[in-house]
Amino acid sequence: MPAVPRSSRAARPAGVPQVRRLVPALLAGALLATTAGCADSGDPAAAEVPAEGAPSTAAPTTTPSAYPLTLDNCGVEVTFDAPPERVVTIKSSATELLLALGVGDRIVGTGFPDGPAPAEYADAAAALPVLSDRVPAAEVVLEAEPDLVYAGWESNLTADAAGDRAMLAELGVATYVAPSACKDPAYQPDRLTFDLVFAEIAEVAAIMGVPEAAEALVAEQEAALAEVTPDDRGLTALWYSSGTDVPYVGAGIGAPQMIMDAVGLTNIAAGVEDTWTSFSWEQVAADDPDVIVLVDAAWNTAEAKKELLAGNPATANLTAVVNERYVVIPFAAAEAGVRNVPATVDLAEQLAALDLG
Amino acid sequence: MSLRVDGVRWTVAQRAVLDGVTATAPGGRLTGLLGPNGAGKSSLLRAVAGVLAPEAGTFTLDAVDLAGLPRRERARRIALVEQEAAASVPLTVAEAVLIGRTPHASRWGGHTTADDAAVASAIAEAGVGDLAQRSLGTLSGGERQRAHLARALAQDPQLLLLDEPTNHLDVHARIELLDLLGRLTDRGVTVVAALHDLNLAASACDHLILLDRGRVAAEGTVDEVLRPEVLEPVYRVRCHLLSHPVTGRPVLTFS
Amino acid sequence: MTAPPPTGVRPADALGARPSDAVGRRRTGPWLAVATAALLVSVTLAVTVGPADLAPLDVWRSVADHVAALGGTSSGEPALGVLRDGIVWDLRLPRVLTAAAVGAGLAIAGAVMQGLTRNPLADPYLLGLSSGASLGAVAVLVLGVGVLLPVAAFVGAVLAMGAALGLAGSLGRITPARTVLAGLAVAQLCSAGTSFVIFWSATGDSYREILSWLMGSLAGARWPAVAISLGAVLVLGTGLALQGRTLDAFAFGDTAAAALGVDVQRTRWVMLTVVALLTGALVAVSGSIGFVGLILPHGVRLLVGSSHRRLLPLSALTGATFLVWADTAARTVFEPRELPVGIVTAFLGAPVFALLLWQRRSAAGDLA
Repeated sequence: MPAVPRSSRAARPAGVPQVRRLVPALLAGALLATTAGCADSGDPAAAEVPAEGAPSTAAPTTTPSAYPLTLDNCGVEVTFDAPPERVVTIKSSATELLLALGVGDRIVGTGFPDGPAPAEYADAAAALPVLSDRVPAAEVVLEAEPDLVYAGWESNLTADAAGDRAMLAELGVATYVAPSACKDPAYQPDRLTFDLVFAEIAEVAAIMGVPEAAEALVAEQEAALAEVTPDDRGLTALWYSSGTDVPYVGAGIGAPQMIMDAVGLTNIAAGVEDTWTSFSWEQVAADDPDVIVLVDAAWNTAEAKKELLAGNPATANLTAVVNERYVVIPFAAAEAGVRNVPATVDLAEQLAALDLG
Repeated sequence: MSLRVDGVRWTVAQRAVLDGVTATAPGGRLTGLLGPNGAGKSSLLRAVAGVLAPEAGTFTLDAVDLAGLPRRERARRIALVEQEAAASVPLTVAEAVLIGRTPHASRWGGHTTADDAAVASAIAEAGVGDLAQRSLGTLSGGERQRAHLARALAQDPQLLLLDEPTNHLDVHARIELLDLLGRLTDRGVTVVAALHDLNLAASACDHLILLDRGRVAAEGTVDEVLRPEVLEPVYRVRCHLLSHPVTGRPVLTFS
Repeated sequence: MTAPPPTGVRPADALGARPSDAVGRRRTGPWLAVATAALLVSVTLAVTVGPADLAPLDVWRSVADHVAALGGTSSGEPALGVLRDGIVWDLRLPRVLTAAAVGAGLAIAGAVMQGLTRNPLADPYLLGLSSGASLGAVAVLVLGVGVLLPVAAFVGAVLAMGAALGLAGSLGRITPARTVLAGLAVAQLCSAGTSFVIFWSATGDSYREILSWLMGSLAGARWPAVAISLGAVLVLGTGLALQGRTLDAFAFGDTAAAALGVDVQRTRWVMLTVVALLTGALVAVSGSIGFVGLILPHGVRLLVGSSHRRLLPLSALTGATFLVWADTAARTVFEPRELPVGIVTAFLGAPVFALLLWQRRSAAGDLA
């Protein structure tokens, strides 16, 4: 439930879990990929990261001096002595990021997918073992014997979900939450930007020991992003995610705002300091946005939303509804991750094709 | 307006609470209903009022078979004052007395001047005029008893049934109550009161019915019923009869 | 314990001269007039309040135009412009009217339930109604057929009531205590079912709608909702309000009521059923809005006493006004965001009731 933030603030373990080293490291920033860590005598091959049955060889592209890698992830300090070999991913954004970095072979289980993977990873995704359609329980996760659980939402890592971070750490399982999804004000980005998304890609790549893959990917996405010309017609827009009586819309500081800024749309809910927010149809009617961005999810399709808007007397007379000025974005692309840039490019194309006559 | 009870039987959980009760309460008189605890006094009164339905037997009021009457009609003729009505009802005395007019209210519950007049006279008659705007919860036990009596009077009944009406009353109030009952019988209202206090019954009642384990053990005048040989098997105490120095009525002592 | 005679007491014989004072008939009329006026003023004002910036005169003119159009004398294009006119006629007005109807219905249903069960903690949802409605609503929300929600909620409510009454009746005569217990049992069962459905199959998005519905919300009130709620209140609510005297007869217990000529079992069944139908209709439209049915009748009792002849109509009027303002607050305090109105009713209502209780300390002792 995104509306109920689960803080792992209290998850600092009392004891010293096995993954932690005695070297204190307070790296609060996200740009750790190129930090050459202290040249400790720790041998990555004999790392304290227990990975039963996993080969103890380091990944070929790792320079040994990148480890041990310590970072502050949503307020929890996590240390990696070697690249994780067995990863459980929760939510599509996590799965797809690893696939995009080319380390999909290290995924031992996925959970809670938001929808089908994009075409370029579809085959690889289909081969991945699925632990659960919803958040997998802690036991199921542990049964897969991971050394890292990579969660797309902070609430995935709680006791009644996949297990709280302290408990997993004590068992030698590292946990990582997508930084853009942190709910604590100290860690939640004031405003999500593509740079932050790229930094997240880079950080994950550093953890996995494949920084070059991140560099390539980020360069590719930056180039694609640079090609996008923001629309200059000064259009206002509503990012309509869900809700019938009370619309749930993209607000001012999250991925929806980031994408709308990139394509040149002014968000009518930009004033609300949240990632998404509940809104009111009356305000929508008063603002009468030029364009409506429809989020397409399997359980709540864009088509269904169009019918709803046309059928509701309160919205049927909106300019955008009468003239069917809709652009569509898949649900998974609204989470911070590798899909943001392709979705932005696609959205810009849809917008350019929109005839506002 | 005499009340005739004929062969009434009522069973609860295989126990015959009323086991063939046949008796008469003469019209316009005060009849005392006597008997030890569990004899069936309260049940009989409730059966007369139509609150519970006996398996067998009839009730006749002034030659009218009560079973044939619709409920409201029955309630217009018969009023019941219970032993212990709920104490903490948040109503004023006047509002409570108005509730007594329910059987006379029209289908959709209008509030008529006839209601107001009946309420006012009932309040006056029961002597609760000073308390009319007081809330029931603030009254003493005796005052509440009189308020409930006023409610019964507001029903304008031909037959008034009272279940242990003197329980909460002090000596003065008891005498007052008996005076009131006397005025009612003078007006022609038939009153049947279940009583614990045999001496009270002796001093005020015109007619007595003695119940024992669901049956009528004795019925008749005060002199006929209040004899040691009648009472001792029923109450199972030794009983001595004296004569009241002023009224000449029987006075009973026990050992 | 003797109290001094109240000041201004009339001697017994003078009571005959002014009998209406004895039962305080004079008190009812003014209260009813004030309450009705307050409701009308509230509705008129609430329609002009909202996130969109509309001048009150424009709002009233828009409403007048529509009403005239209904009557056949149409003036063509709305003066405000189609969208802004739509805000008034399609969003605000139906919502305010629904709030009034739901508030009235819940308050009167709550008062009747409290009278029928002689339990001050009774509310309209006693027979498991809101839990049954929630189960029905959540089921369709999760299945994605939200359009069936009012029907499912109503069916759920009625089925729950049937189960509760059936359970209470199967134990023998229906008594107040059995009614309460049976209702609790059914409510718990439906609650468990609702939680299970939510846990098992709700996706991230539908949590929000479910939560909003469970807390009670008028955000979806359009003209069909007005028809349902107003119709239910006018038909069923009025029927209940006219039973004030019968309900008073229950005040001293079942025996006294029977001795007053009331068919206790039948009356209880019929009134419970009417309350259930009314509540079911309201819950179908607005979700389970709490507080109104439970506390509002008590508040009205503190002001005018417990006689149901007064209590029922006044509860309805006060409930309507209260919910109109609560909903107005829900949709404007955090604009452009909206709160479910159930949150506001609890926040607003509890302190108001505490204040009333404190002011009327002497009368409060009778509420037990």
